Amino acid sequence: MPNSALSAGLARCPECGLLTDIKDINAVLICNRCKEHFYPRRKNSIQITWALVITSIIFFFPANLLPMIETINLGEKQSGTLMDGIIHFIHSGTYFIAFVIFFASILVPVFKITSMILILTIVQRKKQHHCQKYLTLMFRVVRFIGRWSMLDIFVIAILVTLVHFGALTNIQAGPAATWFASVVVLTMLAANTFDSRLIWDKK
Amino acid sequence: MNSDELLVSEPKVHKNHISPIWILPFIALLIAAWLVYKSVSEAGIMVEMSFQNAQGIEINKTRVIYRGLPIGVVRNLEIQPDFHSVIATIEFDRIAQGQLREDTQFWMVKAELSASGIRGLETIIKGNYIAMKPGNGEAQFKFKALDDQPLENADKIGLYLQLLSDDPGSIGRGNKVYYRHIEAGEVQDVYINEQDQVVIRIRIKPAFIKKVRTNSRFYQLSGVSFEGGIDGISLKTAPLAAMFSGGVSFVTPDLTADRVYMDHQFALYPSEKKAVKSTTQIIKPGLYLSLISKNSGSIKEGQKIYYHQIGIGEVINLGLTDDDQIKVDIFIEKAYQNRLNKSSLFFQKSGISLEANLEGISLNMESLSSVISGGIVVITPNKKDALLAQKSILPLYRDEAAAHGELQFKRKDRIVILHSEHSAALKVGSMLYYHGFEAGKVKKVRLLDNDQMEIKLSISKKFFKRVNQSTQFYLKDGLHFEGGIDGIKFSTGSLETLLKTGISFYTPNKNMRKIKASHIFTLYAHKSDAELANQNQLPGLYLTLKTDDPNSVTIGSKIYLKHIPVGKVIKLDFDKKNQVEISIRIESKYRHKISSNSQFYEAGGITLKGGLRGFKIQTQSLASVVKGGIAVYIPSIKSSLAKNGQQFKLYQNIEDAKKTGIKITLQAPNADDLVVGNEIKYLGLTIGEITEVTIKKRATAVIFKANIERKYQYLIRQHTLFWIVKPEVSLTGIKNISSIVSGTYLQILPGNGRLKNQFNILNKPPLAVNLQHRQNDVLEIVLESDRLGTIHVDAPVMYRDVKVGRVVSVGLADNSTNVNIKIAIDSEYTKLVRTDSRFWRASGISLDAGIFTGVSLNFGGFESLIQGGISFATPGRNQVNEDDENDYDDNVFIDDEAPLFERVRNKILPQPPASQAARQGMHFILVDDPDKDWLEWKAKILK
Repeated sequence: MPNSALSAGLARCPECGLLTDIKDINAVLICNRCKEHFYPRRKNSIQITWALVITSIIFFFPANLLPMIETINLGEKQSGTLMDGIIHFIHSGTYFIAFVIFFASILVPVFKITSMILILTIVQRKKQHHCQKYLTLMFRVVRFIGRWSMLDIFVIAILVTLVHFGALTNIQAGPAATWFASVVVLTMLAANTFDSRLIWDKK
Repeated sequence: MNSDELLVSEPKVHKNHISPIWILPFIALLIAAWLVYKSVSEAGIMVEMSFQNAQGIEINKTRVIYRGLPIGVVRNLEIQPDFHSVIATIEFDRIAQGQLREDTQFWMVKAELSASGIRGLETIIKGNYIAMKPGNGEAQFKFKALDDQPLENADKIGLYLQLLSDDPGSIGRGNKVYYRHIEAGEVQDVYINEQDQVVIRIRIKPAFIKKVRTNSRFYQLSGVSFEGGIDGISLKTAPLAAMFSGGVSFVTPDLTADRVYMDHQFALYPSEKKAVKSTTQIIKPGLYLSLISKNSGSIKEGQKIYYHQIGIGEVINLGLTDDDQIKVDIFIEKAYQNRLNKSSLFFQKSGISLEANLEGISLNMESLSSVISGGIVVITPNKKDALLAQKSILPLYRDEAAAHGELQFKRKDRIVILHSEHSAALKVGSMLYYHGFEAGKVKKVRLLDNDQMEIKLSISKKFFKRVNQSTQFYLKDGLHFEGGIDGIKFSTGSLETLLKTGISFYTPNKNMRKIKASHIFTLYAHKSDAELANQNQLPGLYLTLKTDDPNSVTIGSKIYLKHIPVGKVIKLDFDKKNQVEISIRIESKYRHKISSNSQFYEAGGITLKGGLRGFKIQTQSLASVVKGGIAVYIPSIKSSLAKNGQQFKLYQNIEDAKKTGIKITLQAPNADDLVVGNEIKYLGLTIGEITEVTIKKRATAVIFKANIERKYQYLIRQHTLFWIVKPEVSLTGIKNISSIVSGTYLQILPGNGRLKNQFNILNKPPLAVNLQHRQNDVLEIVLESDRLGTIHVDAPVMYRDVKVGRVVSVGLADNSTNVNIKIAIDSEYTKLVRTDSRFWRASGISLDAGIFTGVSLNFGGFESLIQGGISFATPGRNQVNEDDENDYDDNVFIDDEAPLFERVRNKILPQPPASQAARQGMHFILVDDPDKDWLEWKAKILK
């Protein structure tokens, strides 16, 4: 098990990468080179991440239960949730698109949220663990994949702008779009606020 | 070990501090809670509804609509496990919560085309929907949808009645109830009661409640009722809706009867007749009479009583009197009660009188009905007699004759006798009409020895006044069809007269004398015949027109004066010379317009006049174009008025008519394209035309006969010249282009002398260039040259490049040493030619080149450039150089003594001519090139 910089009494400036001696673990460090103020570990990282994850969990429900897209066809309003859209694509035989939407809009947020919960709980536990490598990998995947969840929002944005045929056909974003976008943003923020170095810290 | 210490004492990231970020999930929770609350509060009420048939129901689409407002949507559809019905899960809006009760009814609304209308048309576009009718009772969330719309508006106010019937026919729920064909309510329900009667429950709309009385009769409307034969043909239809699906109608004979209350029971009659019959049995106001007859004929109950072919009542009962006579009880409607009085005569119009009344069968529907069904006719000869009392007893005669025999007919009619060659279908009793009014009757028809028919008419006194000697009688043909260019005229009399033959008469001249008793009229077959025959008797101007071919003129063709019809053709005939003789009559008010020199011509057809300026189509009025007609042209020259019987010639067209001028004969070596119809022109005006082209007997020349309009006669004199103008295309241009279109024509140049009518046609135009000037004024001189060069006939003669004349002829001099060129100078310019004038060839281009002078190029005019021509100059006084003085002319005046400056001045300034004007036939020398001096000559010669 390699030692961390913290265990060596050092902290790395997040801006310029210069190692700085730690006097007090809770005190603000000032980088000798770039004068950046930083802490050895991000302050309240776990708490904030938890809060964001929980918020995103709460928003995940309206995002999936409320209508995502509203099609007004000859004055006849039809609304569909995310899942309705996926089912619609499956019925119409375009499995690839159905899969992409399912992956980006359902799987990825669920994966992100569960991953974050897993990482947070393991890091928080008092007991020493030995799965730092897997957790780090998982965290990287979460970070990387986060942005792709916005795919659905983009699709809606494009549809809304493109399909404007007056009385014939109109597409409007449903209320779920807001919640869904919030979920994506919140999970991304959560991934950002989490200090991945905590995975490696010894208990 | 510092580092170890550090390792050991590695500080824990402290967690006891609560970050404010926790507000975020808290807010999220609040939002979520709000969303949940909102969706729960807005979530609809789920209701299960079973349908027999889910056809047309779509999930998330089919809505529940109440009073036009969507209040719910079908969310789910599933078939019941027993496969007997379909369960639709419907989400209702919250607002509908209070209405989902035990008695609430639901049904599918689909587009439905039914007899009583199109329902649910909106569903065609928007899809079917579920309609709701609120009810009372406990709240309920499971319903069974009705198969069809429930009793519509059963909650509506109105009068609910019960109709009892054994056979309701096609009457069903939703059928309408009519009162005088107006919708007055509808059938609410049809069911069978305990007595096994069919009960039809109807609702009468509030507006019609007053119309339903205790004596109202309800009957079924059975679509189309065709009652043929008896009352004529009557096709009765119920209102369209009822025509297909049936309906109920009611009549209320007496609106003063008591009103009815809810659930009053009525009988439903199967037809109107039965319903109405039952009403007449109730005492109807009117006159009740009894007729006594020995023979009932074909009289039956229900037969009608006719008065002037109007049904005024009916037979209500047949019985026997004590002495075994037949007693016929009749009823006369109240409205006609006053028409009958003690003088009224009743007689049977039964099948027996069919033969006598044969004309009636085919001609009169009304009588047809009585012929077939029989009936009783009543006539009232004396309107002033005392009225009949109720229950009077009157005799019933067998037929009309019997009745008439009874009647002392005190008519004051007059008798008129007609003779006719037409075996018209006239019979005794045929009517006589005057302007559509019945004026009398045919009394007697008999065949005379000469196979003519003699018809005796009786005319009532009133109309006899209208008969005089001018009166025309004609057979009335009910249908009169007149087709013509003016349109189609289709005139009929009334239907009755249309089908009945008869005689009509009219009196064109009211002022004619009255007829004597022995006067015999002719009966014409048609009105037009009568009118034509009448023409001869009308006042007006009678003229005769003669023609070889009357073309489209027919009897009746109109005579037009300036497009206004002034008369008519009344007769066409042949005269002894086999010419057509057309008799025309001019209306007297126009007779003073027709002078004895009037020209008549046929006004039919279309005249096409083509000229360079375009075409002109001239037609008479369209009517005369098609129907033919005769027009009158009245020359401006005053003349005495035409007399009756005067003869005129009928010309083919207006040109012919106008050109009744003088006739001249022209002779030419060849016809040169001249044909009949070619014009003779002078100064561009057409003054006549060629009427005939023949070849002279020995074939040496062509003889033209031409017509010159009289007003231009003065132009045709002894010295008048005629020549042919035809298009000429030459280097110098295209001449007479107008003749290409209008054809070759003859041009004249008037001369003087006495009037003459025999001329020769010149084969080329006369000498004068400008034809406006008389030939005599042209100056003709002869130029001598040793060769002809390019000069030819028609070449121009120019003075200062102005064309003033032309070459008339060229030829060798008598001694053949010279060429003699005869030129003509227009009269306008004759003064320019002086005895000392010099002539030279204008040879187009003259090129003068010299070392010091440079090059000068002169054009002698385009025409002369090509054709060659002659120029000349005339010197002024003192302008002739001495050395120029030569022996050309002895008359040249030379002033030798003049000083030099004067001579120069004389050269520059215009001077009056030095010599006298040239005389006719003078000879001059033509040189090839002019002297320079000649070009400088400026003779001041006033025109």
